[in-house]
Amino acid sequence: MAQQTTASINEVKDWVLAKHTERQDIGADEDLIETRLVDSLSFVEFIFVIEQASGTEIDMDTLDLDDLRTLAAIEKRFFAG
Amino acid sequence: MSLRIGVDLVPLSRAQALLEPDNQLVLARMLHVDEISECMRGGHLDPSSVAGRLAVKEAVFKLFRCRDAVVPWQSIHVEGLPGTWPVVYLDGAAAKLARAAGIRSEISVSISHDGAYAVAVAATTME
Repeated sequence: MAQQTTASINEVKDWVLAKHTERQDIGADEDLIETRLVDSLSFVEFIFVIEQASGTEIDMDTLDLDDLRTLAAIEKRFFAG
Repeated sequence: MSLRIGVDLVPLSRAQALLEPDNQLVLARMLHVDEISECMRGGHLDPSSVAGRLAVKEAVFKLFRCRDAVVPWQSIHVEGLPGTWPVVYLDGAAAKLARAAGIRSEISVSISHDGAYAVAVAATTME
């Protein structure tokens, strides 16, 4: 399961990197929101990418921002087996 | 009585990206069906109109002054046909955030487009 999970969080990482071609990598604990790698305009698309990769529907009105701040938090919340 | 304002700038290129076929489901989470139809020009979605509405919603969200919430796109409603003043009303999550921020008065907004950008300002008075 770990290999499949890692592959999925990498879809989210690849989406962020595709938006920021100046970056080669993103740390698992790097705050995507504080660093504005994900800003309010791209946030909805960011949620959509996580939903598509994880197969989980995310309610925008009740989501916990801390579950989405880092790749590690996203993986733990949405991709843990 | 004090004045509170919010401002936001949206590059048309980012609105244009949201008009791509792959992003239509994303845009539908940011703008309502009627907002999208008001952005139609000559049968096509006008990036400038889309950028203006996105900027209004972000500017209004800044009035709420909350750090740990995301823009409640679907509960900030922007109405305004070409040549009319845009009007904003809130419901759901946005109305809740506005109440929590102590906003009781009407929210006024204004949009402008020039070149590659749309800018919007939102203002309200605080007790």
